[in-house]
Amino acid sequence: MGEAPLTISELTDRVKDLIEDSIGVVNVIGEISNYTHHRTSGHRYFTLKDESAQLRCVFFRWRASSLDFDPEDGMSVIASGKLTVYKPYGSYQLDVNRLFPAGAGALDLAFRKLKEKLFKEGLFAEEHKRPLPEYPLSVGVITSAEGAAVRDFIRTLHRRAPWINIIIRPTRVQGEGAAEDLASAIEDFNSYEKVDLIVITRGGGSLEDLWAFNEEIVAYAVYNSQIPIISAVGHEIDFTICDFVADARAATPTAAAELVSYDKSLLEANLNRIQTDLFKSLVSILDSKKLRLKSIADHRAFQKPINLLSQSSIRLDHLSERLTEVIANKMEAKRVRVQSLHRQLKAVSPKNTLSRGYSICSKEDGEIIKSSSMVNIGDAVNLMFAEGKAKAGILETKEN
Amino acid sequence: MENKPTFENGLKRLDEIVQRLSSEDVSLNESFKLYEEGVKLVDYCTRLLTEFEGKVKKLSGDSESGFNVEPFE
Repeated sequence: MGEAPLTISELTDRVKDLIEDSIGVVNVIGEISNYTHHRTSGHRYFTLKDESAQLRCVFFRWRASSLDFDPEDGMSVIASGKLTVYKPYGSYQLDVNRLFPAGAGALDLAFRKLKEKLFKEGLFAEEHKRPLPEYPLSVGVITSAEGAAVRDFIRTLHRRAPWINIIIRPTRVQGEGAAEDLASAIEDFNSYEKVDLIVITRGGGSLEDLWAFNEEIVAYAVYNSQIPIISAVGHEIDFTICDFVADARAATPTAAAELVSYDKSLLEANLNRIQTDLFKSLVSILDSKKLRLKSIADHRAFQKPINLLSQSSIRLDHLSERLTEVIANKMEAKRVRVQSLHRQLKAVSPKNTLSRGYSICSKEDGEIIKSSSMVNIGDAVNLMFAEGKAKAGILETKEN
Repeated sequence: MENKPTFENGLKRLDEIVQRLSSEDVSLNESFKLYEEGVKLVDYCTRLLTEFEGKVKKLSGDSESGFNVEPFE
């Protein structure tokens, strides 16, 4: 036997000293597995691993309070802490001081932090959002000159609303300098002034690809734009800061083109409807005027003359009847009188006297002889009887 | 085109005309005038939709050096 054997504790102490002195505080990157949040102690336990190794980690409650994201299995993280040895188990572990998301997780965290910051600053406030013009005639587009997004947008907009001018401001949409490009393009359209609406768009991609649209500088440029902005970045599921600040969000470049303008056929149908409405209104005005005219004509005030007239007419009829009656009466009276006169006349007619046996004696010149002095002896006279006449001569005259 | 209304203003005016025509107190004379104006506007707006050809252009330059608009591609 050589040296006296070490106790387990002695060996473990030596390992502990060795590890803690020589390695000490480290940053280590790996994927989380077996993550547990101990309910009573509040400590978090997990394993960090890569393809061929793993490391046990403990994150004590008093340090875990600095966490600004929710770690979960499969998440790639950077753990910062001190490598220690846990004697009861004879194992080493990382006593985590800080935990940061790595890769996509890091972007995700940055995204959420910026989103929260800008939200607090009021950049997403509904009351700041400008209404989109209903019928823009000119649209500014900020996008990559290459790629499907600009083609999709132009094709869709031209089909729906061929009268709209499209002015493209080509920019980088990902990588170094893209955010600055996007921001200055927004400012340029604002100084150019001749567009009714700005569309900022690019096709889908990873969070890293879309990152330029999550930069603060873009967010402020969108916020400060005087011209309304539609943001159409990525696909349906991708949301960017730019989408939140913009006045409207469209899921895709095609959807943005649809949001920009009504469809031509819809507008034409609307115009047709308006024309029909115009005609209907006119007809209804004419109808209502006619009705009003009729109701005025039917009014009692206007009925009066007609009444008067009809009354007059009745009166006239009445009068005329009366007149006829009176005239008839008068005629009858006259007729009666004529008859009576006729009778009287007949009564005084010489013919009547003659029929009683008298005769009328007249001179040859027709003068009726009323006295013997009117004739001389030898004169011829005419005698008229009731029936017939005779000629006679005067034989003798006497003076009564 | 200076005096011609934009499509948007044309539609706004049409809206006013329809509103006015639907009101009680419009005179017969006015209603004929409004109808005539409305029909002309409908015709004008329809022509805007069907005859006006929008262009695709590219904006270059900036506010300092001046803007330049040229055909896109």
